[in-house]
Amino acid sequence: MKKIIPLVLSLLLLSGCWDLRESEKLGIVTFLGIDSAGNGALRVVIQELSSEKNSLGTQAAGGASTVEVHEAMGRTVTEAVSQINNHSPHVTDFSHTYAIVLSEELVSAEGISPLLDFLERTPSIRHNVWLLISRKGQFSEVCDPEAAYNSSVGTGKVIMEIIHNNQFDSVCAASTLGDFLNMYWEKGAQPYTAGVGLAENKPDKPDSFDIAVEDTAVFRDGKLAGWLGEEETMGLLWVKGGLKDGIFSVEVGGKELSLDIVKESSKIKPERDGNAMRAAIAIRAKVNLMESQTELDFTDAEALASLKEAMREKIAKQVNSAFERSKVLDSDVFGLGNYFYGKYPAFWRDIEDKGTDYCQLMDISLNIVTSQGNIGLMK
Amino acid sequence: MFDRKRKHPFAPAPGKPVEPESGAVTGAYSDEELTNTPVLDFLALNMEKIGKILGRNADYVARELSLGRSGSIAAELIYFNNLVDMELIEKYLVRPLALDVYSAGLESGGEIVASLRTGRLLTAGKLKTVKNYRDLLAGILRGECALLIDGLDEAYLVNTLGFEHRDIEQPEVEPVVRGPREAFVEVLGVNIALIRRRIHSPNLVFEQLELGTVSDTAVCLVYIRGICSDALADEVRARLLKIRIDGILESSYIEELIQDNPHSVFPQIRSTERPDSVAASLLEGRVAVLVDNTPIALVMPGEFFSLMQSSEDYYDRYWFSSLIRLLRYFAFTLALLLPSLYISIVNFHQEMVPSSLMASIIAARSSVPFPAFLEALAMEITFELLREAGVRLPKPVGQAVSIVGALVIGQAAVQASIVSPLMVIVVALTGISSFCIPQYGMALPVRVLRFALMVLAAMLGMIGVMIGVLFLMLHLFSLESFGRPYMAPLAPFRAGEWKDTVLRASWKTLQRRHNGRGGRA
Repeated sequence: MKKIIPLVLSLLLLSGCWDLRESEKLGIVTFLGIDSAGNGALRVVIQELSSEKNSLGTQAAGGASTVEVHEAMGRTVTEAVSQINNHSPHVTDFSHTYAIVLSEELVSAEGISPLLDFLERTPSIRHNVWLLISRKGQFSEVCDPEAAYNSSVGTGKVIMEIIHNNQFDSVCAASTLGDFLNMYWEKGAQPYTAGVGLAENKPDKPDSFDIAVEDTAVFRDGKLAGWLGEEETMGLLWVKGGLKDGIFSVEVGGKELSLDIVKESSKIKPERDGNAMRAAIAIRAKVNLMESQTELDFTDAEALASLKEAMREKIAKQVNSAFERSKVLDSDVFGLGNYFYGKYPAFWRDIEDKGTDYCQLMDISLNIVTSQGNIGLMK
Repeated sequence: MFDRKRKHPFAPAPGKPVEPESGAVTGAYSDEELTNTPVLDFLALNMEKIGKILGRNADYVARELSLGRSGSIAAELIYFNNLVDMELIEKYLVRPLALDVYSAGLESGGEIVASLRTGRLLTAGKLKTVKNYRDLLAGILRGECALLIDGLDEAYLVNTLGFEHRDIEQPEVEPVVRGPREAFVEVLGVNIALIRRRIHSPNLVFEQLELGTVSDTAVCLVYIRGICSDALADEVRARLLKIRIDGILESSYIEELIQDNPHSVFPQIRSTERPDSVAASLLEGRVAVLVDNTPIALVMPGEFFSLMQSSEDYYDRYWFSSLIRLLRYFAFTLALLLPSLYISIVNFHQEMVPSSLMASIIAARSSVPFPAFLEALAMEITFELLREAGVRLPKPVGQAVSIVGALVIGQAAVQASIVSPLMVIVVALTGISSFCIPQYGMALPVRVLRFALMVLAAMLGMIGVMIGVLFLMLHLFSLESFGRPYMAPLAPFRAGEWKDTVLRASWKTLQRRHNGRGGRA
């Protein structure tokens, strides 16, 4: 006992309070933006939660937390962040970051790997933060919460809300940092993520913008290769997953139908014939009918058959266009190479050794099965 | 024929053998000495002796009687004024001896004594014959009335107990919505009756022991033969008999002296003021100990899960009871851990809470001048102060404390930015949670350990809290209560007993007895 007490005390008192940080001294970063500043320097923009309060000690009315924007330059991200710490009363903390935006200029010129190093090496940055690429020339506006969308809740929060919404209506191929890193390190795959830009100006408010998360930035060898448009993004997602609850529109007989995707899966089977590589992609999709502008009666089997056929055609068209685009960009964004690596390791080693541009050798065949669930209570 | 005189040391009646003592305290009488002193057959000598021992007391009464019209024999009634019921003395002693004897045809003192000795004269319910001074004095001191007769080397003790005591009232510490509204009182006999009324079994045993070398307090060991294991009853009895203490004024003396680990902060014996709760425990095969002058009974073994139960759990529908029990364990955890979790999250693990909550924490704390630990400590201590003041204050003043408490803690401290509103919520939640623990004794360790965990949280954050909880677990799982592991049936794991721990199964399931250890495992 005589030995244990000093031991326990020294353990507690000498090691205690090591990591202690009072919450109010932290700058909780909700958004991190990185742009190039020319001459190899980086421009880092952060938005941190503001701790402004009214005199009663309670939070500002409405409960909305506002953000403060800080900006600094540096040759590395860390250097810039330490610059920010130097002129801000708070210590930056990235554990509550919602979104990280890299500018298109930066990732197409300098490449993404130096940035990924910072993002991966900083323990407080979570792997579930959204990683997005800003459209050319729009980085500053995206990072300015006052100019964009005319709100003060912070870009990070807005982006997160938009992506979550998107699971219910439209389509976006946003990747989290963790997913992005996985794709980046994986053999036979290239990373992708959604772009973030400004929606079209409202004519009556020329100075305010809405933020839009759209299109897909496709990478090749750590640099931005190009963009997939809306239809191509959807084609990519039919194969990669993530379309569940999305809205899908097809045309039957010249009239539009809106469908809610309730189930969606894909299976890729690599097939090799000499040097020709073919990925057999089987896609299954099940939809509920949301809205029909046609006169078709969906209790009728023929009408349903025509709907399914229209869906099949539309999906095939989207996937094919995405695939063609990936060939043009020379980036295996579908990650098809990975399947060949799994099934034909020797063949894959050969490709790797020779540095073959296998994207151009790749071909796909589609097998699409569509079905419909609920057609609603109307005929 | 008989005169009635109150004997007082400073006003001794002539001829009474009361020595006018000089005021100096004479040597104390030891038990052994008194046991070895027999009652003599010469009344005057007996009276002299008794007068010497008890005569100085204000409530000491010796009443002279003379038995018989012819050949009368002197006798004395000795009792303590406020312990006896005068009516009972009149009825059971004075009347039979002074009046009824003549209608029965007994005339001479000799005849009366002879009739008395055959047991036909006195009809009191409880009549004892004692031969030595220890028993004689013990009886008088308990409130019995002693009858000494010249020429007899024995004395009679008649139970004429009749002192003032509190009526049976509603339970105050363990109130229920549904269930009996009786609580124990300070009188052992009443408490025995309260239990006896609930279990009409010849196997229900109340073993009486006298503990306390000076106080000679009556202590009752209660169990049901056939349900309670003999080993358990023997163990409790053995531990009780080992007690060497001057006096037992409250059952907690016994609790502290016989529990397995006297240094633990956790109670290992259940204490209750409810006779129905004791009866239920007896039916489970437990042993209860009643102590005279204490309205709190002890029930053992008292393992953790039995200490977290309320008697109402068995009176409500079992679905509801089960949910309430779950809530109670949640409250226990909250009361123990909430302040330390707050400290560790605010100081160390800011990434653990949702971002919007973090925003509120920062906003609330930004103008508070103290570190989170001091803030929490100050608030918890204030709360403990208020609680203690509330308990100790006379009832009419009690309201003042709640008003001051509500104003000081609730509003002023927050407005003055001394504490954050969040901290007030934490303290309030902790306080309310600790009130949800049905056993008062079980809430005490929570209140103590909370502070230890807060210190650990301030030093090492969640790691510190976990270290604390770990040591707490080690301690809890190593405890035992009268041979039963403290955390049973969690460890050692006994699946069969789980139906009455965290949840309560229906009575249909519970009525089966197993291991011969009671119907409510």
